[in-house]
Amino acid sequence: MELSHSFPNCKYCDQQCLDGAEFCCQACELLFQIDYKSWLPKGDQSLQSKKNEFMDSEEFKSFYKNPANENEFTFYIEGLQCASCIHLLEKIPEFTNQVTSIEVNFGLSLAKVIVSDDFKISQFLGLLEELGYRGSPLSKNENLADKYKSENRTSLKRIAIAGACAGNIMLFVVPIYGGLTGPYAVAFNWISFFLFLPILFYSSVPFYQGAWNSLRYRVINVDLPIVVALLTGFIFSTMNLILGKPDIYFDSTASFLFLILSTRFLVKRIQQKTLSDSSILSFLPIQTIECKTQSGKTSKLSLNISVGDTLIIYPDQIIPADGALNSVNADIDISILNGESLPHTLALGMDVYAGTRCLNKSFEMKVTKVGHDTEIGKIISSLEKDSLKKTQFVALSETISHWLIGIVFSIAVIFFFVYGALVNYDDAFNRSLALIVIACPCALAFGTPLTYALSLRKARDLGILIKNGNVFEKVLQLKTIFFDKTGTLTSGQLALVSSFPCQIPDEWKQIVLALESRSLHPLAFAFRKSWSNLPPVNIKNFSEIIGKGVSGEFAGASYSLESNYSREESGLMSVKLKKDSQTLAYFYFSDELHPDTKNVIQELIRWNYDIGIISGDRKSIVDKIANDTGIKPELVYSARSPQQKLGIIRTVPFACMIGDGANDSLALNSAHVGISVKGSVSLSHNSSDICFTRPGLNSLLDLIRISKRSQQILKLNLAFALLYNFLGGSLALLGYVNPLVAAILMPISSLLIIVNTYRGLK
Amino acid sequence: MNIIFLMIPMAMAFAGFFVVAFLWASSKGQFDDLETPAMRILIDDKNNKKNNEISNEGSKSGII
Repeated sequence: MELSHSFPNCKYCDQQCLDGAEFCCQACELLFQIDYKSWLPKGDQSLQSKKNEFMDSEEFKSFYKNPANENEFTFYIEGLQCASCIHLLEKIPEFTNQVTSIEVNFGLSLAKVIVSDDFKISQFLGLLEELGYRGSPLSKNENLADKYKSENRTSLKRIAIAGACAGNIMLFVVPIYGGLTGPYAVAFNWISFFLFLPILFYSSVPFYQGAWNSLRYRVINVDLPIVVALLTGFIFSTMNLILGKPDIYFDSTASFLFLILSTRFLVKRIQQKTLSDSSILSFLPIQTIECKTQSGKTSKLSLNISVGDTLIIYPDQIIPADGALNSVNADIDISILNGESLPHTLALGMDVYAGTRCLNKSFEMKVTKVGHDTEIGKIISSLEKDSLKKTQFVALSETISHWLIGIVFSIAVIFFFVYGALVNYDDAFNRSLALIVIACPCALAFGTPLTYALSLRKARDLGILIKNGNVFEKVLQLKTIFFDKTGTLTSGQLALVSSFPCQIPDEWKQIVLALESRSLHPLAFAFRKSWSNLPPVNIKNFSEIIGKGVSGEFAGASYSLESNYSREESGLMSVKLKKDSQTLAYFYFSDELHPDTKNVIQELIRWNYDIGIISGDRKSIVDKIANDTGIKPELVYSARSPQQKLGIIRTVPFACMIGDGANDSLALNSAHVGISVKGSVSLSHNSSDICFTRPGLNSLLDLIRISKRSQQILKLNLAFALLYNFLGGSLALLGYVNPLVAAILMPISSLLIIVNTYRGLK
Repeated sequence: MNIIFLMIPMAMAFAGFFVVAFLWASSKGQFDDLETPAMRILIDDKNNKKNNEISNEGSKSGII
């Protein structure tokens, strides 16, 4: 089974690099090339820190600082790769006086920053950017690490005490198995009894809570039989101890509980990490927005905006509320709402939507709807409603454990009455209890979580974050896989694919770069990316006509760059460069496929999956992509709204949706399996079951392979557990199980399951 | 066999000591983050590295 792809290793830290780069991160490159002591940050001149200046207001800072400690902030850091990153980030106090100390948590991608009084968030973020990371401040509510901390510490303490007691009980029981009898044996058993009390009263508390919930809500969960086994094991053993009878099970019950507690903790740790990776950033960032009032301008936090406010939105800002445009026109990137790769040009009075991004020129808008009333707010609230309605998926292992529990208990009860009536009730009671203690669903109680935990970890190492172990079973039921287009099949960024004439002189290129130099339009990025080695020339009389293009003067001639409206037929977008009124050249752009998209789709078709596309983009563009990748036209849907996407997913059983935008989130939430790809907005991350952290779709193949593997192991474990329960149970009923046999069988069966799971997921 | 009256309390005290030590460590945050410290130690400061090399050479040649 080949899972990992071979990339060259990083030159500095020898870790795997992502996309064939020499270094895994910028930290490694910096540390490799230079002595960091002589390196100093360039300062806060970058665009990024200007944009973030609003974060320096006291209002903003007080929202994010730790309530317990004025000078402590927590930042979520994107781009942590290896030890060098930790090293470099923790060196930051040497570069700036504003930061006193930094502590990085690599697993959760968090940095706890202790700052001095003149700390400026914008400058700190600028510095991070210069070092190659993206940071964002976290408020107390968003900081999951703190939330998990006390929970994890308590769990560890419960495990430690259970482990210590179980281990010592084992030591005292060994001589008894060896044949020790008389007063020493009784004394050793009493010691075991007292060592068992901390487990009973402290370590097992979570099981009592689970069992109580199970009784209260009338659903069988695995905590219930664990508690029954624990209590019957304890009462039964104590009674026998007092009456001087041989059957005492303190040792096996204690070690059983210790194992369950440990595997549960393992699963929880892995899930916490996955959740904190995928859900940490909120969709509409909190920012300061400038408001126009009668007396002038004031700034407001985006939380406090109300209907009727007039807002001034600057380039690259996310629009915080729905409203009507108050300026003559504006260029707005709405790909997040509908997946279209080209920006929309709006005119006075047209609607602007929250969550979209202002591109070129600042504009004014009048707020008409805020919060849950906005278009995006409606999507968010229907997601919340849907996740409550969503039918709970019942995994195979759960079904089996329910059956097993039911069968074991009814057999025990029937046996007690039948055997009691025929022979004697005393013996019947002993044998029935022995059955319950032995047949406790060992493999189900910790074999299944262990398999899930190891599979989740393996998946995470391959760049697949999975929120719940049950997903593996759902993945195997899939029949149809729908892809979103923009950002999923394609990179989501336009690239220059061709031009007419083919050879463009460098001078023209420099003029184009100069014309586009101030633009945040996707086409401007495409130009800059293709011709990154050329410096732009100086242009005079620069002017911009929103929705049309840009123009300027160079060397006495007037040049302009205009969009070309004949793009629909070919599925390519184009612009033309004009000198005075004569057209010099055409440039063609397309949203390019990820390099591995085609292979992945071919492979999926070979594995007999039905493949489809659901996109919000135009038909011509979507059809071209479908044609390029070999997807059959029956399942290709274009120009669909979020609600229509949801409708399509609902009609197809066992469908998987893979997407990235907010417009996919309803479909992601309702699909049998929803997957969000790298670069998705947090709304899609939150509504999907699985997130990919590596670019491209190769992870999808890995996901299917891991699911198959984990399911195999799960079935093997279950088969073994059923066999063991059947044999052990019959022996117990026939009266052949003495404490020695039970004590040997219990740990051996557990050990076999652990070994089998580890071997299978190595 | 009388030695057992000494051995068992000693063994229990020993076990108790380690349990208490573990509980203390975990409440001090020793097990909160298991990944970062392991990576933090991997990379020396460049300057310290040179110093270490010098002192290693020194000890090799017997100067200590």
